[in-house]
Amino acid sequence: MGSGMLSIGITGIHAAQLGLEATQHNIANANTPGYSRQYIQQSAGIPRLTGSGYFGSGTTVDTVRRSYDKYLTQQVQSAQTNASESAAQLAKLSQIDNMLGDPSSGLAPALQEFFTGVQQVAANPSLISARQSMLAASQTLTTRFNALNQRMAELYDGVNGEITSELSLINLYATQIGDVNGQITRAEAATNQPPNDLLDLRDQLVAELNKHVRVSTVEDSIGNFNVFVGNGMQLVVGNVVNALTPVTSSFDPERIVVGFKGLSGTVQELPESLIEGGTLGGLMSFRRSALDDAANTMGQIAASLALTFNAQHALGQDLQGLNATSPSGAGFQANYFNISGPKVFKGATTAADVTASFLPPSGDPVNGNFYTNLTGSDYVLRNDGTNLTLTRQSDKTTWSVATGAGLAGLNAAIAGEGFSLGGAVPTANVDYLIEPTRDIARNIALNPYIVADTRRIAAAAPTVTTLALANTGSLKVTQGQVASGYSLTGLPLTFTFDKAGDEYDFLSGSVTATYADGTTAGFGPGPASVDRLNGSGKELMRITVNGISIDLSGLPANGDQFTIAANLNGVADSRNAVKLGSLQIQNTTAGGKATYQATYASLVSENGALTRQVKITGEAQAALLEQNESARSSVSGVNLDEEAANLIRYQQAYQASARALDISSKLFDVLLGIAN
Amino acid sequence: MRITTSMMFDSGTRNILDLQGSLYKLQDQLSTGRRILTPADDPVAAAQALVVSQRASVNTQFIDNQASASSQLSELEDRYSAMVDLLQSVKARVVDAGNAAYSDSNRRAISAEIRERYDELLGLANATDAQGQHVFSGFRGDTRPFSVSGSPGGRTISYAGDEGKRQMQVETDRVMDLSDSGADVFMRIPQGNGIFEFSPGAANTGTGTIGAYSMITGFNGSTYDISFTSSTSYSLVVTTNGVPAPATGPFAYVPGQDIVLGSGSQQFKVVIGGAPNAGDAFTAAPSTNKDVFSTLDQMISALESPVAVNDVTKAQFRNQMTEISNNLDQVMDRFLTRQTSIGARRIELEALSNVGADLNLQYQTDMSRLQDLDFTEAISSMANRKMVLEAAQLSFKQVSQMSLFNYL
Repeated sequence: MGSGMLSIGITGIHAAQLGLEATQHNIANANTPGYSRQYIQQSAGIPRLTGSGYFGSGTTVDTVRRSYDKYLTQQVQSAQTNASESAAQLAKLSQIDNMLGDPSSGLAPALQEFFTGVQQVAANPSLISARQSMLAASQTLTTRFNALNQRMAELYDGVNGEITSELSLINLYATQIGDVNGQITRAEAATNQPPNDLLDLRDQLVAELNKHVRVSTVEDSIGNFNVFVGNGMQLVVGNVVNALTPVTSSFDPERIVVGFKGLSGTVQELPESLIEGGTLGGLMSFRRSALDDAANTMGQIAASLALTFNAQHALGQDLQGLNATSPSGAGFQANYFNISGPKVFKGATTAADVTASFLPPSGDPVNGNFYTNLTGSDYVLRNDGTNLTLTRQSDKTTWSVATGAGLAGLNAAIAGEGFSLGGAVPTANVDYLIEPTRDIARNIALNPYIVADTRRIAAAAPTVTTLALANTGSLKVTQGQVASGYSLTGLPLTFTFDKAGDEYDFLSGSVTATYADGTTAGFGPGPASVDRLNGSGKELMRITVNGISIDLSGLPANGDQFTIAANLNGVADSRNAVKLGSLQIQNTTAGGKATYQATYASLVSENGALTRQVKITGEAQAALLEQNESARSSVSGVNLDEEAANLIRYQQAYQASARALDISSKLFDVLLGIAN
Repeated sequence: MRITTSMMFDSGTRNILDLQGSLYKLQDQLSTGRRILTPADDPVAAAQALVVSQRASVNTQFIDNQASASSQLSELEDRYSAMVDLLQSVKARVVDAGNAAYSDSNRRAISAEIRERYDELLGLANATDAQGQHVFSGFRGDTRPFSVSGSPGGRTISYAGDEGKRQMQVETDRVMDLSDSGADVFMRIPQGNGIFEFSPGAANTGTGTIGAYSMITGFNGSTYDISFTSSTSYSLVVTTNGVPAPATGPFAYVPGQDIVLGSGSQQFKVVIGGAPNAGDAFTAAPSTNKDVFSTLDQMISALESPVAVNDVTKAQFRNQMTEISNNLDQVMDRFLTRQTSIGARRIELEALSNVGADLNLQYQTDMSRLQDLDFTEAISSMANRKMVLEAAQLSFKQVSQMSLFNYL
C-alpha cells in the first residue's frame, strides 16, 4: 500500500512537472508567429486489481498536444495570400496613380502648353520668336511623354526584379517545407508522437509562402505536405522541391515571367494568368492589367498626336514656301514629330518575320479633321494553317481570313484598328505578339530638322485663290484647303465665268464640282466648263482640283475670273497653324470619338478606379485576414492569464502530490517505528 | 470567444495605426485644400477635373486670342478712319474744283494738295504693323503690296499681294478674319454708281455734260449708246452680250431732262445737260473697276490740264469731276463697309470675351467643386478621429496593464 501511494505520488509530481513545462513553453512562445498553444494530455493509470476491487495507479501523461484547427489555419493562409496580393498591387498602382494625377507633372499641363505654343504661331506666323516658343513647348511635351514612359519603364524593371527575388524567396520556403516534411515524417516514425513545434513551423512556412504566391497543400498518408502552385504544378512533393525560375518571356525579351523547372530539368514558361495570389500574383496582375494598359494608352495618345499632327503639318507650307510638292531634298519637313512603328514579337526565333506599321490617320481637313483608330490594346497574330487570325487582347475580338488571302487580306479586315501588317507570311502555329503603341511614348521626338530650323514649321497653306481685279460680280471664293495627296500641277488655273452658258471655263485639269444639294459631278479634262447650276438647279458650292478644294459663293458677272495659284511669299498665312491648333479640341483619337486630353483623362480615371478598387478590396481582405487570424488565435493562441492560472494549477498539483509523498513517507516511518 | 494576449496587443496597435493613417490623410487634405489627393480618391471626379482643366485652358487661350484679334482689328479700324478722313478732304477738294470762279492756277493749287494725298494714301496702303508685316498684302506679309510706275497724272499702280485674309481662331467654331486684302480695298472698286456708269464719248465736240444717274427698277447689264444725230435729237443702240440691236429713235433731246432707258423691271435713268453737237455720244455701260490711286491720278491730271480754254474743255472738266466724284463715293463706300465689318467683328469679340470670362468662372467653380475640400466637414471629422484615437490609446494602455501575473 505504501509503495502504491509513493508511486502514485510520483506520477502526480511527474505529471505536474510536465504540465508546468508545457505551460512555461506556452508562456515563452506567447509571441511566436504560428505557434499553437500546447497542453498535456493526462489519463488515469491502469488500475490494479485487489481483493477490494480496482485501485488506481496514479496518472499518466499520454502526450503533449497542440490546440490546432486545420481549417482555421488554412483560412488564414488563404486570406493572407489575397491580402498580400492586394497590398503588392496597391503599392505599385499608387505609383502610377500619383504620377498620372499630379497636377504639375502629368501629361495634361504639357499638352496644354504645347497647343498654346501652336496658337502663338497661328497668331504670328512670321514671327521667329513665336515659332521658337512653340518648339520649346513641343520639346516640353515630348520630354514629358518620355519621362512618363521612363517612370513606367522603371516600374517594368522593378516588376522584373521583384519577380526574380520573389521566386528565390518562394524557392527558399519550398526547400524549407521539403526539409521540415522530412524531419516530421522521421520524427513521427520514430516515436509515433506528434512533433508539435515542427508541425507549427511547417504551417508557418506555408503561411509565409502564401504571402508570396497562392499555394495549395495536400497531406499525404505519411504526413508530408505536398505543395501545389498555379494549376496543380507540384512545387513540393515530400522532400523533393521543383524550383520556380525567372525566365525571359518567349514573346517579349523585356519581360521576366515565371518558369517551372520540372524533374526532367526542362523549364516550362507558365502563363501569367496562372500565377495568382501573394506578392508575386499581385505583381503579375499589376503588370498585366494596369501597367500594360497605362503604357499602351500613353503610347496611343503619343501615336495619335504624332500621326494626326504630322498629317496636318504635311498639308502646310513652311516659312520659305516649301511644301509637300516641293522637290524631295528641298528641305520640306512633312513630319513634325518622329515616332517608331508598332512592335512585333514572334513566339519562335526561327519563325518568319512579320512587320507592322501605323496606317495614316483617317478623316481629312476638307470635311472635318484627322483622327486615328488606334485602340491601346495588344494583338496576337496566329496562322493555324487554314486561317490567319488576329486577336485583340483587351476584349478577345478576332479577325480571321483564309491563310491564302495572306496578310493583305487580313489588313483589309483590320483596317479599323489603325495599323497594318506586312513582311513574310506568318509561320504556322507560332504566335506573334503585336504591341502597336507600347513604346511610342518612349520614342516620340521632334523632327530634328525642325528643331534646327524653326522656319520649317508649316504654318501656311500651299495654295491661294485670287479674284481678278476686273471682277464686277459678287462672287467670293475661299482661299482653299488641300487634302492629302494634293498636287500643284497645272497651277495657276483660272476659271472664267461665261454668262451665256452659265458656266466656268477652265483650260486644263479635271474638276470635281459639289453642288448645294450635296451631289458631285466631274468636269474636264480641260479645256472644259463647270456648270454653275446642276440638273436640279442647285448652285455650285465647291470645286476640287488635284486635291485642292475651293468654296464659292455669290453671283459672278460675265467674264469674272478667279485663279487658284501656289501660295508665294505667304509669310503672314497661318491657315495651317490654325488647323494644327484646333486639333486640340477635335476628336482625334479612338476612331474620332475623343480628344487627346479625353483619352488621357480616361486613362487617369481607369487607373484611379482600379487603384481604388484594389484599395477597397485590400481593406476588405485585411479585415478578413484579421478575423481569420482572431479565429485561429482564439483556438491556438496563448493567453497569459490562462497560463498564469495553469501555473498555479500545476504548482498546486505538484504540492499536493509532494504532500502525498510526505504522508506516505511518514506512514512508512510509523511502521519502521513499530519494528524498532 | 477566447481572447489571447497577442490578439489584444495586435488589434490595439492595428486600430491605432488605422486611425493615425486616416488622420494623416485628413491632415494632408487640410494642408493642401484638395479633396482629391490622387485620382484613386475619386476617379470620376479626377478625370472630369482633367477635362475641365483642358476646357479652361483652351478657353483662356481663346480669350487671349480674342484680345489679340481685337487689338489687331482696332489697329486696322484706325487705318480705315485715317483713310476715310483723307478721302473726305479729297472729296471736299472735288467740290472746290468745280467752283466756276476758279482759275487754272487755283486748280493747280488744289492739284498740289491731291498729289500729297495720293502719297499719303499710298503710305497707308503700304503700311506695316508692329511686327513689320504689311497690313494690306494678304498672306504676303513681307511683300510691299503697292508699287507705282509713271509720273503724276499718268501713273499706274500694281498690286503684289494676294487675296489672303489672316485668321485667328477665337472660339471653338469661329475662325475670324483679321485683315483685308489690298486688292479688295483699293483696287477692285467699281466705277459709276457701282452698277453702271454713264460717261461721255471721248471725242465729243459739244458742251454736253452728264448729270445724276440712277436705277429706277434695275439694270440689265447691256450697253446703251446714245448718239446725237443733231443738237436736238439722238438715237439709241442697245448692245446685249456684244450683239447690237437695231438703232431706235430719233428721240427729242431736252437738256436736263431725265432720259429713261431699259424696260420693265430693269429701268434706269440718266441726265444729259448742255448742248451736245451732232456726232457726240454718251454711253451707259456696266461698271468696270478702277483703283483708287488711278482715280486720284485722274483728278490730278484733270486739275492740271487747262480748263478755261473754251466751253468744250469746261464741259469735259465738269464731266471728269462728276466721274471722279462718283468713283470717290464708291471708294468711300468700300472703306466704310470694311470699317463697319470690323466694328461688327469687334462687337462679336467683345461678346465672346464676356462669354469666355463667364465660362472661366464656371470652370473655376467646377474645378473647385470637383477637387476642393469641404473644410467644415474635414475639420469636424479631424476632431472626431482625434478623439477616437485618444480613446483607443487610453484603453490600450489600461487593458495592456491588466495581467494575472501582477498578483502572483
